[in-house]
Amino acid sequence: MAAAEKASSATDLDAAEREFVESLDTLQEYLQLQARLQDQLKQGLMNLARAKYSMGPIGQAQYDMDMKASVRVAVRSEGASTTCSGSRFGFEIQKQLPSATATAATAAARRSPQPPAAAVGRSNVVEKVAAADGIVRCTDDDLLDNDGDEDDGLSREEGEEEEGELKEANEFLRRMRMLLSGDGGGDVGGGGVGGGDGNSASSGTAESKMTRRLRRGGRNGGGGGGGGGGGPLHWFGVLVPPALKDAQSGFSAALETCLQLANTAQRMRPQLASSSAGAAEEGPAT
Amino acid sequence: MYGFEMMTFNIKDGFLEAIVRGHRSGLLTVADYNNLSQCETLDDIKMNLTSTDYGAYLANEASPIYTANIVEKCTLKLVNDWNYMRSQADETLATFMDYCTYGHMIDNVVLIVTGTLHERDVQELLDKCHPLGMFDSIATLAVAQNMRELYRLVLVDTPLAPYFSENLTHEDLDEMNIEIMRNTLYKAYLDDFASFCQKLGGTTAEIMGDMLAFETDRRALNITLNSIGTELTREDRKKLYSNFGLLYPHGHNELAIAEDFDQIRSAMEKVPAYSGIFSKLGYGESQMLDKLLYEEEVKKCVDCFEQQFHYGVFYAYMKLREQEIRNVMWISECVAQDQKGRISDGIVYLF
Repeated sequence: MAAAEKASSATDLDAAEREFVESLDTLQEYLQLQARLQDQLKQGLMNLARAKYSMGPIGQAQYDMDMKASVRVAVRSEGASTTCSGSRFGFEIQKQLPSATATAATAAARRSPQPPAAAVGRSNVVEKVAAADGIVRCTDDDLLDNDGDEDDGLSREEGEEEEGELKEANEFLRRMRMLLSGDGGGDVGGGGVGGGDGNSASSGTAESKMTRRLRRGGRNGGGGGGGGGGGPLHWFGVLVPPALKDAQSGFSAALETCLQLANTAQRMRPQLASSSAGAAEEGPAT
Repeated sequence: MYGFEMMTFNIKDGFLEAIVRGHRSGLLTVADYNNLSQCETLDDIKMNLTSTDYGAYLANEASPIYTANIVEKCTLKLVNDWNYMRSQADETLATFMDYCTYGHMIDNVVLIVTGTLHERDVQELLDKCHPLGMFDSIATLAVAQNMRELYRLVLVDTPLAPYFSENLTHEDLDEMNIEIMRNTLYKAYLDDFASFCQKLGGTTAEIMGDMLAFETDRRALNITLNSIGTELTREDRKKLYSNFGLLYPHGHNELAIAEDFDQIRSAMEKVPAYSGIFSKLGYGESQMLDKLLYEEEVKKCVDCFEQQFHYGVFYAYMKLREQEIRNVMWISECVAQDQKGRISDGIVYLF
């Protein structure tokens, strides 16, 4: 009997020690993430200052009033019970894709159990982690994936579809206004705009098909403004300095680090609570 | 006649040349920048600037002060000086000074049109426009839906009218169109400004020819650098380069096909005037390029003041003052972000 009690207390001690070590590891991870977030924010703000140095004032006057979030943070509460008291939440990123792309990604995922790399890269992060448990444990691999392909795909996809009925209506009204007021010409002087190079008028009016198609995409995407990495950057111009692009990617990475930090904090609190509760019990016992 | 400006220049323009040289002597020195670099807060920067030419503009600013406020007040100083000189200039100098401001006018037009595309309030956009680029009908830019309307309704009565071509389209104004419009207008403006300076002749033509050639080469370089990774095609990129400058035409051909910074570097290094700039950069490093180009521009502007009896001093004064404002902005940003170690990355000393 005494031996059994001794064995169970040894087991309890081992479990408590393991919990304590885990909580310390989580705490270290939290501190490292904090330091990383600080560096990312510092670098992002410095890149923003460099962009202002190159291109002049950058401010809220250039924001799109019709902006839509390209990234949302979703909160999920834990489904399974845990050894800790209290509820736990997980935070995950949801990236908004145009409907056609999302449909294509979902269809591709349904067709094969292991979707091709392109579809995986373009799929919603939520879909990718849905197979896991209810809490999203955001690792560096999950969150810090390369968004470049997605954004390029978005900027090309936007030219092929409208983003809502309101946008279609606005576009239709704009065209009607143009048709009603655009007949008859005013004489204009020589120069460069609209026709491009003045030396060759025919080549000046003709522009590459690629640029024309992307202009239509730019028109549709410019109204929405929330299509991903390329969309918000275009609020400040198409030819922006590299520093502004660096700032954007830096702040995107900082956002993901924030979520990792929040998830780690959620993991850490019950671990620390149970460790300190176990230490309090041990105190009187010894 | 070249070399004989000293006989006639001071009759009409001597007073204003003296005024602009007075303003030039009020530009911040290395000692001023060292004092600013020691500041711990933006209020310290404000206090240090009150003992300079900016004193009257910053003295009454309430705390807390922000970088944008400091830049706005410093810009106001430049605008007031410029308007004072412009109001007293005779016809030729007045035209020259107007040419100096057309770049700001183009930027204001693009700001209003882009802001309207993004459904911003027009009054808010007008507050953000550069004061030197304002014109009477600027607020009506918001009603234009395409390039043709933009020209017919508003810009036909502005100095930018000659820079529009005969082939205006009904295409809607979107971000790409607006960017191409900006750069094409700027190209036509620089071509026109250069030809005006050549018509003036003499020292003005010589000095301004050099300054504008550098400006157009710098724009070509920035367009190339900023269009890497975008959808702007090579043909469209080449159409945005001006028709003069040290890079015209062979350098432009090489820049048009460049796809990364090292290809740009190899194109620029073929021009002896720019090989010295790029030799200071490491391979693949483009971050310091802006500062090096501004240093080159400042050197040319300071050299402008070595000669008398020409209009280049007015252009140089504007550029030097703008660089000074950029310096103050950079120092303010570094102080506000507690990154004073990075101050030296952006300051270009004028003297």
